[in-house]
Amino acid sequence: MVLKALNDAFIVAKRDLIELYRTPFRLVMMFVFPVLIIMLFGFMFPSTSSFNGVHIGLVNNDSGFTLNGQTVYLSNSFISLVKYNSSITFSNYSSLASAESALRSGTIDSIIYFPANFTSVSLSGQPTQLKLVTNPTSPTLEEYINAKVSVASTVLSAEIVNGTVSKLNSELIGLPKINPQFVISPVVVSSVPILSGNYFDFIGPGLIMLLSMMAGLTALGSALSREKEDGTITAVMLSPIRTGSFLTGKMLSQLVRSLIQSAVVVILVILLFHMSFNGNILLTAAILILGIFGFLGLGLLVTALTKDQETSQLLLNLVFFPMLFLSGVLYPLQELPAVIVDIAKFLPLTYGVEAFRQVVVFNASFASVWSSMLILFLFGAVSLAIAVPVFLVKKSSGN
Amino acid sequence: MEYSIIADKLTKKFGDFTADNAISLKVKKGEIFGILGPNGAGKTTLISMLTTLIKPTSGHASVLGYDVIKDALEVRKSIGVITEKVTMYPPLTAEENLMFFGRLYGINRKELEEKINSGLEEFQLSKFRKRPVGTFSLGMKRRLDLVRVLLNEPKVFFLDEPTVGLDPITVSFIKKKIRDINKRGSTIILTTHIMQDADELSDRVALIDHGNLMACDTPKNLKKKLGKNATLENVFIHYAGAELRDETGKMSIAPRRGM
Ligand SMILES: Nc1ncnc2c1ncn2[C@@H]1O[C@H](COP(=O)(O)OP(=O)(O)O)[C@@H](O)[C@H]1O
Ligand SMILES: [Mg+2]
Repeated sequence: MVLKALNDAFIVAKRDLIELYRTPFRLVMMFVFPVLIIMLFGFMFPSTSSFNGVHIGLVNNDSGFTLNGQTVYLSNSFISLVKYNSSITFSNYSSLASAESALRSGTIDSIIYFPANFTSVSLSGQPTQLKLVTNPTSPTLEEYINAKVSVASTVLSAEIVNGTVSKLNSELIGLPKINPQFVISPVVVSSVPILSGNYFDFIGPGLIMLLSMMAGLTALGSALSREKEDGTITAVMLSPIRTGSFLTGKMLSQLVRSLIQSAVVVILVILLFHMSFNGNILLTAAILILGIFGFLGLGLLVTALTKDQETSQLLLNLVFFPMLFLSGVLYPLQELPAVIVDIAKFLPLTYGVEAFRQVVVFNASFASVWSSMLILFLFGAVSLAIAVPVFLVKKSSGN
Repeated sequence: MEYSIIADKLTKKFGDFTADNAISLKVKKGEIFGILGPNGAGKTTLISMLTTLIKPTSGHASVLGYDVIKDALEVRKSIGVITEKVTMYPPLTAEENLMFFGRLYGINRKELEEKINSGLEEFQLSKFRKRPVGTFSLGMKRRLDLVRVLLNEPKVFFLDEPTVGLDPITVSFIKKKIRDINKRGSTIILTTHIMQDADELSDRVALIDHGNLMACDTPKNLKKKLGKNATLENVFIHYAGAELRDETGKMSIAPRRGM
């Protein structure tokens, strides 16, 4: 009895996989599509070192400082420090107003304004000021320019302090010498990354997990509606097979598909984008399977409750998109407002993505992710326990 | 037992709409039983209840003594069904499709292979066995569907509009096969909206319209009641009236309709 039910499930799963093998286009898209998505997102949220074509407007009124017949311009040193090791380009504007209108029109990305006394104030022992005008409508670019300018100002400050302090040291007799570094920054932080990673280490595991869950969410729906369209579900239901075996078979084939998909995508992302993979393969696979399992029930419920595939697709998107943005797939949850973080705690995807990332990137152990895995499992079990009876009732009342 | 099928006040409602209204009938073992009615009459719904696909709203039915609700799995083991829509997986080859369905009936691999070979041979599909079903013409698909259903050697055979949309040669081929299958001992229940098919093939016909059973007898008796030279078409109009049907129920005395 049980054996026959299991055997039937295997027959159904095997057929699904034969069909996949017989539709090479679907098979290839299964791998290409996720890699494409990961690539797009990976470059859409780049690390701050990879901006191209940044253009800064300069309004340079610096009149310099003449000493022994030689005029120095600190503004020029500053500009070359900003430029250092980047592809930033500069244009000069005669007034702040004309530069601002260029910034508004998008010709330039920000403005650096040097006042006439920029050099002279500094060399007379007073803090000098320059003005940076930024464009807050493109935050990542703004952040990039801010970082560049702040490095330039630190380096230039260090130069100035060095000069001043060594002059001072020569005049201090009988007192301990001052290290110029102490004046620039009395506390020094050395920041050490725990592993040599990149943004793909964040987005890669997140999106792979997301794809598995999406597979779980849409698997039964699309499989069943295709079977309905082809009339094959009728033929299957007319044979002596239990609906439970049929559904189990469908889920099994989806698990196998998703695992193959994830494995290939992981390998491609490692090869193409140098994503780190440090996790235990078995634990990684287990989390993926739970991720798919967790969403099968929800997908089935949506399918059972909707009349046609378009409606169910719409409903699934309604579930999917908030999850995509709220569960820390694209950016760390810490970047989101506290309310959203609280909401995210109710989304199973959050736990899946978190656990998967921990295992893949940081080689976390079962002991540290078991609770997330349990949440996924429970979510899947409960939603299936609701969805299967609903599906059965709907089906026998004449779909 | 004398009867293959016993239906007792079978009723199916979709919301407020009654698709089949308290239909009672008995199909004798070994007969070809036609269910005749215009589109939308409730033929497919009736077949769906008898074949365990949907649950009746009320009433009972049994097939070979098995209750269609309580013993659904037993019913399915002994019936074969050709639905209106062809039911094969388009990307899979003919052979793969047959293998899949045969396995679901629990036929062992070796026996199944033999049956597939002889079935494909009988329905002249042998040379297409390795082709995806998606590339088949409707006629080929229908024939393949017959091969599929015969794998299980069903004792009761349901065919829902088996000739719709087919060319005359395939139609006559399929009619001949239906008679052959019947001669081999299977009871056949056949729905159609084509009077001529019902007349030619059926030992008895049930006329249904708007979900009601209007009459049930041999074609000969039905015609006799209306006098000499009456056709089944006359019989039908006599019972159902000649008014045209709304969009779901096009009147069907008209020529054979395409899919
Ligand atoms: N699942 C369903 N939901 C609502 N109405 C249905 C459903 N299935 C069939 N019907 C309606 O029941 C009537 C009978 O349909 P059907 O049994 O398919 O007719 P036939 O096979 O005689 O052409 C039709 O009016 C049809 O629209
Ligand atoms: Mg019909």
